[in-house]
Amino acid sequence: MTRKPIRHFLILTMFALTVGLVSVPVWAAETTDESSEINDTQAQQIRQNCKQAQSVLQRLQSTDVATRINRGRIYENLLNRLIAPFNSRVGANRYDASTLTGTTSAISQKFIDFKNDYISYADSFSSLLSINCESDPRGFYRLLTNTRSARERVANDIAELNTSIDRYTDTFMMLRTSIEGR
Amino acid sequence: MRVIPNKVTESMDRIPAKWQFVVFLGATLIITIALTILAYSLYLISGTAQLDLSRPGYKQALSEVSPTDTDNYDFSATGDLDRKALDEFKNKYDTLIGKTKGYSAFDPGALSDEQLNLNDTSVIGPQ
Repeated sequence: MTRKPIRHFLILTMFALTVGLVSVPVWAAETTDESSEINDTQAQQIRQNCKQAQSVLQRLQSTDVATRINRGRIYENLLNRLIAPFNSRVGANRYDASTLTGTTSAISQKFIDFKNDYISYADSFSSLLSINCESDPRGFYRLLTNTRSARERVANDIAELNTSIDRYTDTFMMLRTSIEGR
Repeated sequence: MRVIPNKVTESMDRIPAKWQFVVFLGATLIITIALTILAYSLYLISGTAQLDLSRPGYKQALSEVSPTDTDNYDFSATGDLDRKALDEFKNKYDTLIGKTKGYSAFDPGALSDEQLNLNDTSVIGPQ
């Protein structure tokens, strides 16, 4: 008689455990390339300058999150309030909007990459700040190397976003010339 | 629609009366914990956590975030595409693009050994 409720109870427990395990974020695996390996002298330097470095890192983390929010707002305004309606208007006026739309897709994709890469970077940065560089300078430097790579990816995303935006500007200028020449 | 509540009632009826409250409480707790884990994981995975300035230590960041832009960047999706409309678009477009120049582009050099003073030998004592 009491087996079924117990089975239900077990099913619920299994469900809860599965949800918990599946949804725990998978942290980026630490890479160990040559640039992240340090010798004893460097380890000693890190130990000595640990507090100073962590204070610089904390300030940088705070500045970065503000930059991410400020840049994100600008790109969102640009895409949703300006570029998307402009493309629609170009199409509605029976001009060829295919190049503009293609470039817009590239900007949107790069913006998504920027957001995703920033998440990886911020996660890596948090791990870096949680490590004690006085007791584990090698681990600290390994994580620092990972965080540098993650920051480089974010910087590349911004550079590529700028390139796509420049391409959109060029396409707009060509369209403008053709419209005004009529 | 009433199938699930009926099944739950049937299942509860099979449990001896003295255990019903305990089972009900246990199931409630498990569901609450599962949903909390799910919500927290979504908070972390979606990137909300990384931009949440209400976390401790982000007071300075809060002051660096620009206040919500009240400028009107809306461009109408309807209407003629004449010189006036093109000028309006270009002005708003240039203003927005210009604003990005005021912010850092995540220069990789900010995490260099030099910036973090990790190669400053002057502070090393006798080894």
